This record gives sequence, C-alpha cells and structure tokens, in this order.
Amino acid sequence: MKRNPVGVIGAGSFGAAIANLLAENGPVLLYERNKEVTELMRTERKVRGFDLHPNIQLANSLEQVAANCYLIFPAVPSQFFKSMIIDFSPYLQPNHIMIHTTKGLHCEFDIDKADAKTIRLKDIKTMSELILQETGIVRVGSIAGPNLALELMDKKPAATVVASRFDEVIREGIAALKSERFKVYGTRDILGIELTGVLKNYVALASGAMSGLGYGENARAMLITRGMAEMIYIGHALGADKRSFLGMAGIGDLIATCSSPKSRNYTVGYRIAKGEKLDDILASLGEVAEGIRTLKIGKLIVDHTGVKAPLLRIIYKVVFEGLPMEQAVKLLMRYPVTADAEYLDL
Amino acid sequence: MSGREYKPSEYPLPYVTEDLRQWPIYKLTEHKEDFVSEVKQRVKDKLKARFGSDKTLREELAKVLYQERIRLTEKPWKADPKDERQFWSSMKSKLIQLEQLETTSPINEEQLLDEIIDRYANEIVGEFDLGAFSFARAILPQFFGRILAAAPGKWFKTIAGNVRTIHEKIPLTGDIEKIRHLSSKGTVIVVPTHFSNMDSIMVGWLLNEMGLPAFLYGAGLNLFSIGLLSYFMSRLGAYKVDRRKKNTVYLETLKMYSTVAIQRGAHSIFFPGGTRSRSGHLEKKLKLGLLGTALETQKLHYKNFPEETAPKIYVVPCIINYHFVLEAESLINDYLKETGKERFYKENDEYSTSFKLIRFMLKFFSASSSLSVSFGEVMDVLGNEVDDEGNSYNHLGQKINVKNYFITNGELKDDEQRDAEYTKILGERIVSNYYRYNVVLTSHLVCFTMFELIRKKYKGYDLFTLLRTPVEDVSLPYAEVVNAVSEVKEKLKEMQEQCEVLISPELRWNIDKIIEHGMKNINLYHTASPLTKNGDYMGSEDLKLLYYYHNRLDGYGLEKLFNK
Repeated sequence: MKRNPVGVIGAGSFGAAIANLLAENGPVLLYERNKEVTELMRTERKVRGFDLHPNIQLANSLEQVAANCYLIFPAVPSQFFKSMIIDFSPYLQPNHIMIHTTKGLHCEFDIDKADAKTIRLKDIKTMSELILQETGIVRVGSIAGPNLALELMDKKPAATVVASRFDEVIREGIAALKSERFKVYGTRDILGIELTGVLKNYVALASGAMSGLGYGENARAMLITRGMAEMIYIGHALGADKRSFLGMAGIGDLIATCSSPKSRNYTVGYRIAKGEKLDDILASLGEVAEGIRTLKIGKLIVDHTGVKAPLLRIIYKVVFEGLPMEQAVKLLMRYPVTADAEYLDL
Repeated sequence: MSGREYKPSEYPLPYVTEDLRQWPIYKLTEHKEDFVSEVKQRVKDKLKARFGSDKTLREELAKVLYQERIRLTEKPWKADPKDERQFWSSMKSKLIQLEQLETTSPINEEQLLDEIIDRYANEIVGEFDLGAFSFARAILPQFFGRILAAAPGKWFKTIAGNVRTIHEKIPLTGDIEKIRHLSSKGTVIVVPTHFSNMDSIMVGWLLNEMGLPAFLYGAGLNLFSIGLLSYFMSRLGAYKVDRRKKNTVYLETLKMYSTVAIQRGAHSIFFPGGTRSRSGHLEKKLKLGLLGTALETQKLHYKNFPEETAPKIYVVPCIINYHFVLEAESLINDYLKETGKERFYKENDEYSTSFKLIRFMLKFFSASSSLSVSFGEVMDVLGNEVDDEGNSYNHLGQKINVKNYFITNGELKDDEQRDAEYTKILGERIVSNYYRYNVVLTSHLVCFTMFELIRKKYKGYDLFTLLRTPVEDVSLPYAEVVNAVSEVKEKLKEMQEQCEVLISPELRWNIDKIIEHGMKNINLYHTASPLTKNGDYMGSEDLKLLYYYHNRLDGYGLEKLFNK
C-alpha cells in the first residue's frame, strides 16, 4: 500500500529531528516558512548540520501539506504558533489529525504588558487548545518527553509520550514515530502532558544557572525534585492531574533538560549565572528559548492564582530583575520545608 | 449571530408532506416485521461479537438475570407483562442447566441471548397507526382548546377559535422554517430539556403543529400503564423505555432500535438528560448512550451511500419553559433526599391512572397563562451549525464535510472510543444551546431573585438548613425585591445581547407588573405558594419549591450580583 506522507511544519532543531524520525517509517513532507533554510535543505539535503533523511520531501506551502497528509506534526515555537495555524486553517478538514510538539503556551494578551490580577486563565492556551480554536480539526494530540533534538538527530535512543483524548490519535502517533531506538508511550491526559512539557522549561533554566555557579549533582537533584513538585502545583491550579508530571514527559523530560548543556533553556540559565546579559544571550542563541516565555507566563499564572512557587518567583527575579544567582540560592535554601513528597496527596 | 431578541414564530403550519403514507414513521410501521427483525439480528450480532466466547457470554447472561431478578422483586410495576416472572425463572433454570451440563446441553448461550433480545425488542417496539393518528388529530385540538381556554365562557367556542387560543398560549421561537425544510432533506432529531411528564406529549404535539411528520420517541414504560395514554402513545410512534433495566443487553437493544429507526429515516425525539430534571436545573450532564445513536447512524449512512446522496441527520435542541411544573414537589423532594447519597433516582409512578392524568392536565392548562418553547440551532451530529440547505459549518464559519470526521488515512473507519468523544462534543453543544436558548419567564426571574436574596440574608447557612428555615422568618421588604429583580433583569438583557439567553416579552414590562405576573402564574397550581406578598413584604410558603424554580436560572453566574 502506498503510504501517505506524514506532514511536519517547521524545520527548527526539533522539527528537523522529528521529521528524520518519522522518515524512518515512511515518506515525510516537511514545510519550513524560511525560504533560505528551505533552499539549503533542497540543495544540500542538510538541516541544522545533519543529513536530511532521503524519505523527506520539501513542501512549498501549507496547502500542499494539507492536501497530501492526514497526519501532521507542527513543530513551531509557541510565539509563532497562532499565526501559523491561522494560515493553515483554511486548508484543514476534520479528517486531519494534528499532533503538535511545541512546549510552550499561547496568551491572548501581551505578556509584557499584562496585569496578573486582571488576566483570565482561559486566555492562556495550550497549543492543542489553539488548534481546536483556530481550525476545524478535532483529532488533536501532543507529544512530549525527554527528547533533546541533538540526541535524536544523533540517532541515540529515547522515549516520548503521545497524548490525546482520542485513542486513535495515540495509535496513529505511535505507529508513525516508533522505532528500534524510539519508544512511544500513550496517554489521554493531554493537558497534563502539555503543561508538564511547558513548565519544565524554567526548571531547566534554573538548573543551568546552578551549574553556572559550579554547584554539583546534589544541588541539581534537589532542584529537580522540588521543581517537579512546584510544576505539579501550578499544573493543578490550571486543572491538570499530577499523573503526567510523574511520567516520561514530566520527570523524564525534566531530568534530561536539567542535566544537559544541549538544552537551550539550560544554556540560557548557565550563561546568566556566568554574568552575561539576557539580551546578548538570546541574540547569540539564534533560536527561541521557550523558558524565557514560560517564566513570564508562569509568573502571571502564579500571581493570578496565588500558587506559592518559590523557585519560579526567584528565578524570575534572577532573569528579569538582576537578582544575583548566589542571593537566589540563599533565598531558596531558606525557604521553609514541607513534608517530603507531599504533592502525592494533592 | 450577534445581538438578538425574543421573536415568536408563527404557527400552526401546514404539513410539509401532505401524504401521511409518505411519512418515515408510517413506512416503519408498514414494514414493522422487517424492521424489528433487523433490530434483533443486528443487536445479536453486535453482542455476540463483543462477548465472543461462550464463557464470557454466560457471565454476561448471569449478570442480566441477576439484575432482572432484583428489578422484579424491588421495583415491580403495573406495566410489567403478566408472564415476567415466569420468563425470567425459566431463563434462570436454563442457565443453570448450561452451567451444569456444559457440552451436552441441548441449548447454548447464544440461544439464551437470542431469547432475551427477542423479548426486549418485542417490548420496546411501538407503531404508528393512521386511524389513531387521524382520531387524535381531530380530537386533540378540541381537547386542548377547551382546557386551555381559561374562561369558562370560551368552552363552547368554535374549533377554529379554540385552536387559535392554544397557539397563543404556547409561544414558539426558533428557526421553524429551517427545521421544516430540513425534515424533507434528512432526518431530524429533536433533543428537548426534560422537566415534566408532559414534555413528550407537548413536544410531539408542537412538532405536529409545525407541520412536521410524526416523530418517534421513547416514553417511560410506567406511562403505558395508563389505559388511554397507552392506547394513543403506542400507536403514535412511542416506543417503550424501561429505566429500571440497566443491563447491557437491554441498553444495546434499545440503542439498536433507535439506530435502525433513524437509519430508516424516522424523525426522533430524544431526551438526552435521561430522566426529568430533579432539581429544576437545566440539564448540564447528558446521557450520551442514546445520543450516540445519532452519530452512529450518520456514520452508517456514509458507509452505505455515496457521499452526495448520504442522508444527513440534524440535531435540534428544544427548551420547554413552564411557569410551573406539575411534579415540582415530588421532583425537588427526590432531589434533596438523594443528593449525594445515591446515583440513580427511583422512577416514581405518580400518574398511574387516566383519571389522575386528565385531572392533572386540566389543572395545568386551565391554570397556566403561558408556557414557552424554543428551538436552538440546527446542528449536525458533531454539533456544528448547518445552513438552510443542510451544509455544515464549523465554529469559524468554514464549510466542512461531516464525513471527514470518520475518515482516517482516506478510509471510513469504525472507532467506538472516537465516536464516544464526538458524542461528548455534541452533548456539550446541546447543553450550551439549552442555556443560550432558554427563555426566561417572569416566574423564573422572580423566584431566582427571591431565593438569592434569602440566601444572602441567611449567609453561612448550608442549603439544607436554609430550606428548613421557618417560612414565617423569611420575608423581605418589597422594595428590596423590586431593586434586585430590576438588577437581575438588566443583566439578563445584556446577556441576551450577547446571545447567552433569551428573555420573554413580559420582561419588558415594569418591575411591579413582572413580579405580579410571575407570582400569579407560579401560585396558580401549588397549594403552598412559592411566592407571597403581604403588604410591603414578600415571602414564600414553600422554600423547597422556591429553590426548585430558582434553579432554572442557576448556572448563568447571576448569583454574583448578590455577592457584591
């Protein structure tokens, strides 16, 4: 049987990695809005320094992807996601299945000008909510897990979770992605998966900053454990169950991003601790670090809902208000302790 | 749709299809044997496929027999057939035989299942009888007309005069032309709110007055014990639904009955709330089982017909607003008794004789100055709006092909879990329509306001303590009530602009008149008045009833007005 190609939107590092993974199981149609990057892929068959899998074809338009693929993986940063999905929307029908890979949130307000008191939580949307809002697609899913793009490109083993309220979407996602070096789990808890994927960003940033100070693995383990607890509380305030936070996309992803200098969020934190200016770091990075947006949105959420979240609040001060990292660590160490693993009772 | 106001629709209207023999429900009866045997066969196939091995099937049968035995001893009804006990005990001995003899038994599990399904299907089946229909059509207007004309002098008016009175008394709103037009293009499923046993008769009659062909509907088995009602119902498209039977085999048979009927084009009425609303709230949670048959049938149409000719199924929410509900007292008592204790309500058998029912209707129609019925948006089986020609449009206004919901990788696929999720989506859209097309009557407004004021006065009381407060203690200055009613009314007006609710024309009156109208209407029926006025004070003689009627406007966030 001739297989329909699977669509991928966005050839950023994660989009490219996922396209290469999908290509191992069949044809892939990849769309990238940046014409230079597309041209480079076309002529050199290279993406982000890696070889483009021979099964990958390049699409000229979103329309072409919609016409040829029923299963589509958008891999577009959260700040550009809405405009992409609006452009895409006219070509999409309810027979399309969309599984997004974006670990970010969208806000219907300007996050730099918003007042935490007056925002409405319903104006903060996960990418799946955005897809449902802006298109006629109903079968929506999300993937998240310990999936550092560079390691995936290097063909190293990894695992991920596909989440959707539709078992069918989970099955389609697993069939398209799984391979001998990529293990794919499934869950119906899409909100949990999306939120854990997002919230881990700022914990990774904090982890990078700790390393920048030269702290060791004990400190990192403490950070990861309490960071996860805090993620569970924030997720809870947004209506998510704790379950997914304890799974592959939660603790799994957290360990990977908090330990690896290959993670962008980690890198940003590391360089801040080393005394670099945020603007300079972002400029030299070239790609989006979702952690910075997550921090801003997360701060609005915790201020609005009254979740304690000491780690988020202090890291926010470090990144945006110039609090020295050493000072931040002192504050965190002084923060009163709770019972151990108390979040399990939530 | 932007800003709107309540607009009554003109009716009665002539039949869309004049020839009664062309009505889908007539054709269903014409081929009744064929129809029922299709139902039986398909549900048998389905259950055999699901339970597979003899052993699983046997376990399932044991469950059915167990549940049926409990029903027989704990909740026997007059409507139950005489040989009910006999049948189930013979089933039981056959099952025991099977368990003991295993392979040498002359009967097997599948035969037992067949017997049970046959019995269920034969019990459920209703029909459509032209004679009974013509008779009812001739007699009902007079009957309704007489009891509706409150002034005794009008009793002897001409038929035409009486008919006019009924239609004036029951204002209707909604896109009736669209519903009429689409009824000839596809199959219409009306999904009304459920507050009273009157609902199915009321909706059935109204749809007839709108000129639509007769609808198929499920009516509680208990209603069939009322001789006269049973005679007409079983001949006018009602099939029997026994809410005591919750076993898989029964529910599947019931669903299949509905599926096959819709597949054969029979317009149907479903009460998606299941039973009558106990608390007086608009339904928020729907029973998705029967509703799912709409989606299932649409999928089957796409399987069996080429895309262009596949008949389409249209779902139309319907909101019935009574100034008062006849069963209000027993319903709210049930609710309060059962709150938090039990999941299923006991099905009360309140109207067990023709006499009681007629007396009840007489009281109702002679008392009520008006009730109001409104139809929501016409939707497809996923809850998308459809246009006059039946094309579906999603929430963004993009035209969509409903078939695509069932397609994966270019092929139409079956997937129970997916379809159940789709039905949830449909359910959410129906509930949203219930709220948005609910017509606020004067009595609802006044009851809501009164109860919220009382609640505010006794802040800190829990609901049960509040409801037990001596009614003598509950009085509020009339002026305070006037102010609060006015405030709630203004908010409702704003909400109508935002398409969040509809308000009845009486709400344009001044506040004194609104309160008077609301009081007059609600107090006509109940012996203890939910609303009273004594000089400069207002009160209530029955807080439970007041709470019940208040609940009709719960869920709109209006209570926030009282917490300032």
